[in-house]
Amino acid sequence: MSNKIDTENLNDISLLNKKKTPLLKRSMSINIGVMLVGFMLIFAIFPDLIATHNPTDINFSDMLQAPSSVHYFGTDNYGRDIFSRVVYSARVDLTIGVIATIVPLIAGTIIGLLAGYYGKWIDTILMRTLDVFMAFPFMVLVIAIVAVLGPGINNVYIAIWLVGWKEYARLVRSRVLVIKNSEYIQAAKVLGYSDARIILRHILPNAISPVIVFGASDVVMCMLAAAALSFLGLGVQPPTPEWGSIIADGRAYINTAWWITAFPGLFLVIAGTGFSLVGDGLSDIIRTKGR
Amino acid sequence: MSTLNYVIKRILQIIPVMIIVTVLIFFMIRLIPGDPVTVLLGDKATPEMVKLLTIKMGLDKPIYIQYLLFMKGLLTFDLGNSLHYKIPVSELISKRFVITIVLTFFTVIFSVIISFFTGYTAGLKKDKLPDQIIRMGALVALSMPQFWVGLILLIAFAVKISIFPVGGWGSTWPEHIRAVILPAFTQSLMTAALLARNLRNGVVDTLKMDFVDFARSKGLDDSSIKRDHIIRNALISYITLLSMRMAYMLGGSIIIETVFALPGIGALMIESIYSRDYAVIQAVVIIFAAIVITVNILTDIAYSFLDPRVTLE
Amino acid sequence: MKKVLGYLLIVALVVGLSVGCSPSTTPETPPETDAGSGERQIAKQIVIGRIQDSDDLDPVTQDGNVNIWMFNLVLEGLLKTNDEGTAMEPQLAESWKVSDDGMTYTFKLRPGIKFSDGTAVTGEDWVWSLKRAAAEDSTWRFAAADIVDVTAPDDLTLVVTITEPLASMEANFAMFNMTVQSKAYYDKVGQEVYSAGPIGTGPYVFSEWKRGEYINLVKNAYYHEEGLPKTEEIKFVVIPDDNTRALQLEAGQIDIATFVPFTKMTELDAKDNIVASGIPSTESRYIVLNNNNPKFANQKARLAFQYATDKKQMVDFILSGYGEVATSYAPKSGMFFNSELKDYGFDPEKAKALLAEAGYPDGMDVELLVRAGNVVYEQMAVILKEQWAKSGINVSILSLESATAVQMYRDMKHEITLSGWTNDMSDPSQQAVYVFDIKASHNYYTDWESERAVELMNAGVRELDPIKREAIYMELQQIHFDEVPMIPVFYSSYPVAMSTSIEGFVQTPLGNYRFENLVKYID
Repeated sequence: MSNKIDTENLNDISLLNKKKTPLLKRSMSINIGVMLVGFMLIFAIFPDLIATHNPTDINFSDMLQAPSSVHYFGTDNYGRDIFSRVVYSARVDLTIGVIATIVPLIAGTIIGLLAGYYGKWIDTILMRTLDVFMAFPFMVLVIAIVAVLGPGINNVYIAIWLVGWKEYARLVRSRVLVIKNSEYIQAAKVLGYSDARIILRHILPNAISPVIVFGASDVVMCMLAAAALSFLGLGVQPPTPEWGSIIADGRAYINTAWWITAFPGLFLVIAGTGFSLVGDGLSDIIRTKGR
Repeated sequence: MSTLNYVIKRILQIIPVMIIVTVLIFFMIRLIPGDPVTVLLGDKATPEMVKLLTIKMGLDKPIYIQYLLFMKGLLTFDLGNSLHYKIPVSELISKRFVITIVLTFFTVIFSVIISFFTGYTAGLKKDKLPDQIIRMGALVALSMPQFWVGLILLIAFAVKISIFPVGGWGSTWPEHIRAVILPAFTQSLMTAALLARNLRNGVVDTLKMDFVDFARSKGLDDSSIKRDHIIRNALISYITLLSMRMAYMLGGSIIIETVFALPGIGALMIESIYSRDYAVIQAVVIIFAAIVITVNILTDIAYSFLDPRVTLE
Repeated sequence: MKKVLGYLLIVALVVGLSVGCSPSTTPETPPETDAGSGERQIAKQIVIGRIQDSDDLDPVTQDGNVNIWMFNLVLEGLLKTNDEGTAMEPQLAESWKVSDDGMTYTFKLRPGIKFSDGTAVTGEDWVWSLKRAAAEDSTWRFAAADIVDVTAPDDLTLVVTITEPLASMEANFAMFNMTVQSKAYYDKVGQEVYSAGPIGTGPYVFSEWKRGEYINLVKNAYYHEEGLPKTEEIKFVVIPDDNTRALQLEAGQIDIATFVPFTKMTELDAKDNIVASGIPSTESRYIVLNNNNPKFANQKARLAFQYATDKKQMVDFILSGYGEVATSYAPKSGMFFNSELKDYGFDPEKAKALLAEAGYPDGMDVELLVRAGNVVYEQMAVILKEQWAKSGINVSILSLESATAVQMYRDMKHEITLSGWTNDMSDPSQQAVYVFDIKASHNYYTDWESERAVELMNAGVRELDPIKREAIYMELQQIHFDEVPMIPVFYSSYPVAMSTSIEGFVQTPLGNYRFENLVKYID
């Protein structure tokens, strides 16, 4: 038997006193979330199987029709079937949301971990770099980048990546600053654990929950940012369907054809809710597992 | 490190950051195709007209000379004249900033009020009905585009029932306040949702941490534990998030300002980018940078007061 | 006693508070009757919502419709166009003579005209104003470019000499930059303040300008027409978002909304308290083909695009009927419009045949450059993509931010783009320069050239015989129509919606606002 104090179990003592949240309740939100996201994924992967019409077919005789058995969600001012457009948008929006979020999330977390843990000059340089990026208002940067690099979804990604990482960095860093001075981290250091091990196994799991939660809502925010760009005329190229741009176009008809804005809005909310629920569920699991 | 030393250190660090910012913005915007003269002259501009006006406006000088002239002006707090409107930039942006600040102020108030009560309640009643409802509500609020929500609120509360004006800023302070309520509320929804979720998780996390048990074991009763420890700790990331959202808003809530016809900094920025008004873009970015950096410094200091475990380095 | 005083105080407070705090969603409109004629009551102020703010109100240093259209309200010249934009009328000139060689104009000026600050208009003001407009470095120089000298032998006579006899000179004298402005005022305030608004003799005066927010105009107390203008204050507010602007009109927050989205016109007109009208304009929209591109080198290929385009559908759909199919590059409501030209029509089969003849039997792939943020262009692009597909033309839309897109086509880097035109002058010579003189704008960014057209263009400016002149412009339009360097799509109107209480709204086809008789009834 070794004399080594089992630090892993020391941490778990606190767990003994916890009221265990009923397994069913805890996984309920993540279940619903996964269901919703899955639902959206089906739309994204198999739009041709679900859509009833071609999303870009213009039909002047069918303009602004209310929802019917032929057009489940009605038609827009070009006579295009809203249901099909909303279905095909799923692919565009989900892709935008995920890709625009993943890169900043990973990059920002790494930067935040390093800055928070090592402190001193690493922290200073990283944080001052963050200051420089923060100095540029989000929209300004995005518009400038899209204007310089040209339109097209790839450049929208680059723009969002360049601005998106700082929130994660700051969030992680602020958690790391709190955690790193706590007793068990000090203990781990005394025991000679490598920096990498401490960071990855002890700090990261505790710092990550705001990141996951924020990341999940960031997916939604990136979809909305794409929509905002469409509102300003700088988003996806027409006539590609995208929930935000359908809503933006439908604003002019909100009094006469509410369905144009309502249904893509509904889908945005469903997708957003799904992602957020998954994010919440994941952070719950990570929080109680790793210590 | 004492707070004073820290503040001095941060202030000194502002200088290189700001210099980098000025260089970046100065050269970046000139990279964008198009130029202020062509925009000013419009569709009927012949190449001759463009050349004449470019020289007249001093935009034909080599770029590094223009940069030096600009920096010289900055040091004397002279932001130059707007290329589009011909009047001093400071005149142009001062009123706009007031509008944006008022809008941000009310948005923060709404966000904090809404999120504090909902987030705290949700965190305490974790997984019970209030928590579920509040979390659902936050998720829905998060997913709605501002230009859509704003329009619906406008139609409902300004057109159908005339409680608020249909956008615009008004001409007197009572009118200003009335005008800013709907836009501030619209804008606060997303921030309130984010903050509520953040606070809820912060509360939950803190409730689980060892020192709460430790405090309990020491005999402190639940309510004082709540008051002192939970709030303080949950507040740290809450404040981080809030300060980020504030900085974001101060940089111009372009969507809100467009929908509600509020002539704030966001509207000015968009207009200036479209018209390639370099002078205005530079000035606003630099001022904004200064504000953001200051807010960051203050936030970092606030951390150290809220949580003694956080040390300033 | 104390109690009574107390009650009185409370009553006074309540009355005071209720008077002071009455909320209003509509602008202040205290009633004001016309001078004792028992007529209807009209409002003191009218609020007009527009998309964009002006940037420079000095007619000589600026160049933009947002500025130009305001000038008729504040500045006056020797001549003016009539409200229909078809002919010239005297304004501040009582009469004039032209010398036999056609190069000297002698004007007899109306006496007793004052500037809006009460000072009298002198010959020196006229000389200074016109010379300033004609100066080499003035930005909007077009109408004044041919002036050689201006002299005022006395305050009621003005002599202008020009480089050569020009048929367009009368139209030139009616331009906004040939108006009389107060030299003393300019000398007093300097260029920077002058750009916030000159002092003129028109019915209104620029009184306040909050950039990006509004421009306030007030009645010129010294205006030379008795009883005009009828309304004391006009406020132009800036509301960039189309929907918000329309909503403000619905809610009564503004009285007139300009550039209402065409799609909203019918909806607004259906409301009891609003009337939406399409004001005849000189505004045209074109599909611009870059003739340098080998795809469009052959006239047959270009002609194919005419047949591939269903213009009627565009008018019905994009303009909601508030416009007309275009044939000539020249606007229908302009001078010397060639009404003989008949639209080619929509014929996809013919288009395919032409493309085959031009060497594209399997159709063509094209890139259509669109300026983002402009609803009309965006809609045009979407519909053209759909329409042209029927003729085997496959479109990819490139939607760029406005100034970026403009730079691109100014550099002739586009394949196809969409553009438009509004006349500033009622003389066809202005537009002819842009369409046929390649140095001006690459011939409307087509880089198409025609020697014959250049000959005609130069002759047209100088031909004094109206019959011969008409023939010249007819031929110019025919050449352009046959060669199809670009495709005129439609003539749109100015979509304006206003409260039904408004009367007297005048906008000339050139776009200039004329508000002497604009009133809002409040009874």
